[in-house]
Amino acid sequence: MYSYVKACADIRRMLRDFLERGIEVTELDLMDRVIKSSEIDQVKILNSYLSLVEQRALFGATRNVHNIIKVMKEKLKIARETHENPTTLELSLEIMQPLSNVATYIDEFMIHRKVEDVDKLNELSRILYKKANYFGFYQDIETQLKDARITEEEIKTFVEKLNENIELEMETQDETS
Amino acid sequence: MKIIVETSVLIGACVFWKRKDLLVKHCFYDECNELFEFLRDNPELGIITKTVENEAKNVLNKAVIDTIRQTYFPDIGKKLKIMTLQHIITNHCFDRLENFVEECSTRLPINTKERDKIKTEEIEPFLREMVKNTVRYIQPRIPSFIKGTEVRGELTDIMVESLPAKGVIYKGMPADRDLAIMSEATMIYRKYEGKERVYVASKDNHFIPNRVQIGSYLSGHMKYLNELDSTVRDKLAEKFGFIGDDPLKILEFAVKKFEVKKEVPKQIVKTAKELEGTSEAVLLNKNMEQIERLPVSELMEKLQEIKDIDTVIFDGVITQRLVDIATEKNIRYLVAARVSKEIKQQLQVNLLTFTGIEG
Repeated sequence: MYSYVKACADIRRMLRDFLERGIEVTELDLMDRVIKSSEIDQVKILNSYLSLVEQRALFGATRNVHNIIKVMKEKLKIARETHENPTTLELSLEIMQPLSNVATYIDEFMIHRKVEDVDKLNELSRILYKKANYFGFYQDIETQLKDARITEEEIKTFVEKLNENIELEMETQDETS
Repeated sequence: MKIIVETSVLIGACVFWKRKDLLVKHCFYDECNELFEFLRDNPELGIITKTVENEAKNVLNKAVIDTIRQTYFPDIGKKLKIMTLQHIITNHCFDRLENFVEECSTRLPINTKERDKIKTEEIEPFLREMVKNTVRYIQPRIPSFIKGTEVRGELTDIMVESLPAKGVIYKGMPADRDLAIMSEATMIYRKYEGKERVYVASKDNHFIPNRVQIGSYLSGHMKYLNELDSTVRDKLAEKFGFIGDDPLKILEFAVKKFEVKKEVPKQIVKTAKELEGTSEAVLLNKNMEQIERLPVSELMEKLQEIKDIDTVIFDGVITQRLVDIATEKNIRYLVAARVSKEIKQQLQVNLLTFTGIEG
């Protein structure tokens, strides 16, 4: 059974090694398994019997892991070429802790097919996203949309529906319309 | 003056999506965002409590879940797309929301026990009593022998217009979350011991004056009058101190209060007062003597041909084109009712508004 927690620990160990002896690009392949697994697991989550709220939380967490490790790998490759090793490595190591926190919940689902605390997972996932975004370890919105092949029309439909639902939820209405 | 931002305003400002040719925003976005623009420059005035922030996130999360349900599709490819899209949009909205909280507000400590006490012992009983004497809408009785939608509609308008009083319009008891926010607003007001005016910027009917409504939502003739009933809001303000209002209204008060008036020659102030509401312009020379008085529509053309003008005062909006001409003609003062937001930084010409000058 693939474990995200173990994968995070392995990556952290590798990053610490790199800090001492420099980035070894061939060893970065260790990250490929997490990237691939997290991509497949997103589909597994959506195909599961979890409730929509649980699916959403777990999907978001797995997608964060996928995006962050993918960007991290690219950044480490570039860092090796541009001799920015210590900075990128230090930032990567700092992200690994919130990443491991989220990984615990994904493992729980993979093993027991359940999510214990959705609110906590959402909170940890948001902390991870914010940190990664702040350090530049998250793809920009344009790239994310392009990768997911999301069209402008789909965004428009979704946001308009979202606005309607917010109005229903808040019981506010635009009386001028 | 303190401005407590309520959940509806925080949400209104954070749902905004602009990419290339696409612009989708919440229907209250413009007004809510305008308030936040002001608060960004004056963060010491804005207050967003933890309750409001959490509530806004909860509402957003619930609305996203409902949206997913409405757009969900059994096909896994589409499912994946929707989930990815909602993840991107949720993150984007939360980023904006947290940014507003961080950049446009301060946070005061709220004792939750005290808040709950105010809620259950003061606000809730007060509103429960008040709700008994309110109406949801006005529905004049018209005899059934009067037929035809148009005639009945016309008659309704005449009857409503001739009513000596419209009754107190209210929507019913607010939800628990609104009561909690009202209690926090009361606490904040009391904390300042009445020395500060405490406003609650909201789009929620429970906080602000309500528009008078004719007919129920179920009726085909339901409509709103351009008349606001502020009875409940005023009574809440009288009893608990906080004044609920529309974000733009509060912004208007705030701008007036904090606008630093620029001292200018008396003649400019006098002319500005005369011109208000006339759609006319007056040109003055260096000695503050009137050269010409003309309609605003002819101002641009006139400025291009005339020389030795020191000041232009007009009942209109200062635009970038007008500023360019004024710069070219060495005009010192442009004074108008409003200044367009699109104006670039000006060093040569003094751009002033009617409300921003004193003599």
